[in-house]
Amino acid sequence: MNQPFGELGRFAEPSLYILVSLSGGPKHGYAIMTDVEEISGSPMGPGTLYGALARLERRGLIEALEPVDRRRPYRLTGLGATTVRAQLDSLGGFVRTGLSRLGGKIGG
Amino acid sequence: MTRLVRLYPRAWRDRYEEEFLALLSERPPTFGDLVDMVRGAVDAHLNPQADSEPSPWTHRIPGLLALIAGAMWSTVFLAFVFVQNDAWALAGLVPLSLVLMFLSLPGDYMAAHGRRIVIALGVVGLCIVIANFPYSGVTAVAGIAGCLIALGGLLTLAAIRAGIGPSGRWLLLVLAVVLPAAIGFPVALGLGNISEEESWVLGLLVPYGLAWVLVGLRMAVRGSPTLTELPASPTEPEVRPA
Repeated sequence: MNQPFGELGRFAEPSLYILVSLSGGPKHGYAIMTDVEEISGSPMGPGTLYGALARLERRGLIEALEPVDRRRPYRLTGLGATTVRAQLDSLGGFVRTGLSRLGGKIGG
Repeated sequence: MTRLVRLYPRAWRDRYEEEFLALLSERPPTFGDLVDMVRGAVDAHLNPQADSEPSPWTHRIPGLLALIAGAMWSTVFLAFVFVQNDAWALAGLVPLSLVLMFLSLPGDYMAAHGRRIVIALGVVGLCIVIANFPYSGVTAVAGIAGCLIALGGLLTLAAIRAGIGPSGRWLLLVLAVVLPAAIGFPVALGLGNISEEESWVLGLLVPYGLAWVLVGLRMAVRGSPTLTELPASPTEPEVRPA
């Protein structure tokens, strides 16, 4: 994965899911977890979620909002939006290349 | 559940504990989640992300080693000033302090500066080989120069790790290595009025130990995380033309 995802190690993929989830608007931890589970089809553990949130927040890709009750929502920053868009563009190119190469072989 | 959360470092808990517990109250954790939390706690200790994170105690070990090494070195050579030849009884502490100095530069630091460290070890090896040559002015000067480079290199690496800037590092090198050598060698070679038998001349090596005490203190107080940790400031992603 490209910078800065490559440097996130095992948190790279969860981080991308979180950024995509927050692209739809601010969410708190539980809402992110359920949304990511819906997007990816597999659950994300709380330790992984907060490991990724801490990294994204430190890199300025997301920011914490004022807590509501005990739940603190997070939202995407401008840098986060640019980063996730670049990452998805890159993945889109990868997917298109893969599909076009597979094209001749499908059903053949 | 709160017991598991206590596995996380204090700074992490100060920042995330409240919302983390709120999340767990909304979604009772499965066994897999508990394992994930333990992994998360280990990660939070190894890769602290919170800005207020105090240095883990393990980050202070290199500084303490450097400090102890510097104190041992200084004690030995101060003894040569005050008790002269009786101080030879402490001479065994010198190689031990050198080992501790070397051990204060472990882990990722070794990897990041591996080339310089290998060169320094090569120079030390060269010194040992040269020391076994039949004595001559050339081999003596080459051996001494090699040792000075190795000692100066070791101190420079520690100073980099302690976060001392280039000007501070040069000042340390001049005061702890260059100046004592510039004064000591002419005296030891009998070029001054003092006999080379006067063992107090070895007291000129005290500043080297004091420099390590200073560097060690700074490393211990600041903590000495790995140099491969990422900078705190975010970087803009590369923008490619569509």
